[in-house]
Amino acid sequence: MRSLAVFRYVLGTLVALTLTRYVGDVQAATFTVNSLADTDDGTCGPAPGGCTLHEAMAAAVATPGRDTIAFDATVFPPGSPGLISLFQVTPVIVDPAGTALDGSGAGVIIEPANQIGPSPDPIVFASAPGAPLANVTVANVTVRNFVGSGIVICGGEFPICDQDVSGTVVQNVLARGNGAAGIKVAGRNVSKTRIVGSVASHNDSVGIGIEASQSAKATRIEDCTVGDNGMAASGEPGIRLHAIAGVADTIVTGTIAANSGTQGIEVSSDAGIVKTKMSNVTALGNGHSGIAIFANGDLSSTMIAGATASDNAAQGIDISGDQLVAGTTLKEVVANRNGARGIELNASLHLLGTKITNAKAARNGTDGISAFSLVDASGTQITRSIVTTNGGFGVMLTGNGNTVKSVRADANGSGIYLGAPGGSSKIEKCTAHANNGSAPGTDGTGIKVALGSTGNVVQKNAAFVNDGANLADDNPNCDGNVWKKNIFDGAATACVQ
Amino acid sequence: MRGPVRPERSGAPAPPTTRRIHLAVIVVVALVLTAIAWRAHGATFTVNSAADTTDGTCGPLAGGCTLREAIEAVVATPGHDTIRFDPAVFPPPGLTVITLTSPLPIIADAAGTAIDGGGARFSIAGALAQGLVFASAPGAPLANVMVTNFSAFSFTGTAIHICGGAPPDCAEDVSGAVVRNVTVGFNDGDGIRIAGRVVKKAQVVDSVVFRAGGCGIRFFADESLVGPRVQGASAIDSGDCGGILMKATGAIVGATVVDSLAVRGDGVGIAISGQDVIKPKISHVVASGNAGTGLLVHADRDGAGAKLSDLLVVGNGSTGLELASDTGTTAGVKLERVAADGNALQGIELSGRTVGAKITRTAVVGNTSHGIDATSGMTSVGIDAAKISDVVAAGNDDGFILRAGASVLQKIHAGANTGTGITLFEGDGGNTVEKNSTCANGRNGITLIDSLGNVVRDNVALGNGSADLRDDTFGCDANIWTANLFGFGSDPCVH
Repeated sequence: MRSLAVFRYVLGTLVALTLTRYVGDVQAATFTVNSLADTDDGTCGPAPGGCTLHEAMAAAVATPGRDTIAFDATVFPPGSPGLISLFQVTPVIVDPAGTALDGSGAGVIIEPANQIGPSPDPIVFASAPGAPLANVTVANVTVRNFVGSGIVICGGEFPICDQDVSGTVVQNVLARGNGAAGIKVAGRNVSKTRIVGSVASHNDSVGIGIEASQSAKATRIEDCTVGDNGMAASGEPGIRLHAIAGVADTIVTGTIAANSGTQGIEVSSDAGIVKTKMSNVTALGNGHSGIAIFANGDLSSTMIAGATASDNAAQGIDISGDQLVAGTTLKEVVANRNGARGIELNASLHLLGTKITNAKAARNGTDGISAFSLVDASGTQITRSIVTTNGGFGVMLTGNGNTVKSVRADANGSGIYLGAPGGSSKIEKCTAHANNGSAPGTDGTGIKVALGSTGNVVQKNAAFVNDGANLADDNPNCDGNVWKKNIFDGAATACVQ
Repeated sequence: MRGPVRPERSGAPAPPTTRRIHLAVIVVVALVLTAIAWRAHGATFTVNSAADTTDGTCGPLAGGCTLREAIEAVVATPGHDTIRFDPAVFPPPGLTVITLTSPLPIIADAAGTAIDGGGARFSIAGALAQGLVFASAPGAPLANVMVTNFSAFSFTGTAIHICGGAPPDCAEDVSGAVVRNVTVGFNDGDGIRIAGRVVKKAQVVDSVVFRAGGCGIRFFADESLVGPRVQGASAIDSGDCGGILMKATGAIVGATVVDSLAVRGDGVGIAISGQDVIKPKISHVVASGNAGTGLLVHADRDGAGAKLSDLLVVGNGSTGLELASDTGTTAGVKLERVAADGNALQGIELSGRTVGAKITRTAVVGNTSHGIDATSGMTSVGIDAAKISDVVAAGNDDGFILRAGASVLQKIHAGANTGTGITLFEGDGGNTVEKNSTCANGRNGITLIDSLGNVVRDNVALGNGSADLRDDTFGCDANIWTANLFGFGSDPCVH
């Protein structure tokens, strides 16, 4: 019996020790920065001035588990933030379990000690060669004016970043004036990235960049402001989410992207993109398109609601794919004063099932709304929308089975155009007045069906005072097209009624 | 003593004399009713000639009735007459032009006249001072004028003018005027004008006005304007009078503008202006590229109950959307889903004392001046008891600048403006500013200037060019700053 007791003791001790170790791993350690200095004596102590950021980072690396680096609010008071001027190279925070760098309750600014600084990338989280990185959190800090990127979360070894990254949270962070990206998340498969309430401005490269050499999944960007990024020579977007092998389940909401070198918000993949949702997004004054979603593979299930995309150099909203573009829904979007099209949907092969409702597109350089495919476009529905004073077409569609209903297409270069190849579409209850043919490629027609587009029904529309024909059908004798109950003064051919 | 003899209600028939009297009464009543019906329906005259001549008659034979003759006939015939057009002479879809060589007679008939080109395709044109003019007479109101399916081009004055009384004074009432499916263009005066002392329930529906030298569509009442409605209209390239103008010396009640647009005009895009402006409703409207204000609702005195939704005001030469009261109060304004974009002054301006405004789901972006301005210039009045939520302001000078009291600003995203995200300036104070994001603005995120008793909480303000949160009163005098997330505050009392 004594031997059993000894065994139980030993076992209990082992279990206790194991549990203790386990709990220690899960709870990890918290290192509180209580010094503005940038020194390193090898310890991060609790005494005032006993723990610098450098020391806390080193301690987090040396301590297994998901540690937290916090900041002493007496040293870093909120509203009058403490400034850490780095003159040493900071260690990469290498820990596969992830680390939290959290300035909650404090005011923290991290910047180089001089204009150049020793660390091009001051805050870098990584794992190790072959190891994924999980659960990095960066919150409530400002990182500014570094030569490199402000914050980097890198799966694997930095700067290779070829391993998976998951569960990253960047919250209430300001990344400003850095020479590369403001906030960068890079890895092989990048999943469950959440960037919320953060600001990336005046960074030379992308403001917020999420790069995956394989896939990016379940990315959320919420309530962020991204302005004046990407002005380096090559030009970069304000926000870029790019994955070579596919992007899925993306949400961008409540975010402003303004004055970027290229796109305001870019979601792109060399393969496919599925389930992208954007709501209450503003893309303003960017050097290329305001919102651009493009895939070399299939692009499906895109929803954009309540977005404004104005004054961008190219398209306001550009959704395009080299294969299939399917299931796009745009609702209550506004696209004005863009250099090219207000809204463009473009598929090299198949464009299917687009729905646009309550859209407004005015004063764009070319078309207000354009949806086309070189091979097959079908099922585009544009309803209760206004496209006016655009240089090109108010609405330009190709393909089959499209519907344009209750659309006001007045005072554009041309009003509504059904192009070829295509047919079996319907235009009804629209207006197309005073289109003036002012832009190249437009002829001031109110509503026009192109040669080769047949089986269409054009009914109950009104078209007056267009510089070109009010209604026109380029097919001989309106071949297979039904024109009826339209109100207009004069048509190009008698078959138009 | 017996009472008067009465026919039995049942039983024996009435005597022959009584029956004759009954029959006579029935006949008289029938004749009167017929006469009333005739007067109500009036006569129909069908234009079957594209010429502009008159021989004094409007006959049914081919070529027997010109428009001029039809109008002469209408004027000579009492009642609500109708002029139609023979589709055989004016066949659709081609456009047959009636070229006028002299002004048409004024269609003076107090009962109103209907001109309906339904089934035909034609227009009237002529380098003359007026197109169609409907009137009554001095002292007589004008009712129920209808112009439908009609086009008029190239007049030096107004193309279609509906005038209570006699022009040019139009000093009598107008009611029930309807202009539908009408196109007017290249006229030097107004495109469509409805004017009188009191103008009730006038409508312009599904019509196009193009290149009017005056107003595109003008409603004018020397006293009050009741229930004017513009629906499905396009006013394009109008003159400096405005694209769509509803104006009254007295009150405007229940004005409606829906599914319409006013673009590229030399003046204001759409204006509703009167002494008092009560319950205007404007929805699904675009005002784009006008030289003046895009959309103006203006009361000399009071405004109340305006509902504006689904609007786009873009690229106008002045303010995008302005609601103003000069001496009184604008109360109960609701703005929803308004996009004010790229206007030369403010995106949205609330001018004068404004009470109880609700602004939601709105975007003001890229305006040269402020996104939303409720400071009334240098006056002391502002906006009280407002609720502003779910609004985006980006790329403006200041996002918001409000002289506000007892108002709530929440869930606003004011970022990337060149000035300050949200500024509360003077005013009655006591505002709540909460759950907003004001980041990356050129100056401050949130600023209080001489505004007291406010609560500013749970906001995010990061990366602004100057202080993220700023209180210009000493020690944040009576303002409560709490639970905000920010980088720099102007004062330790900002939290």
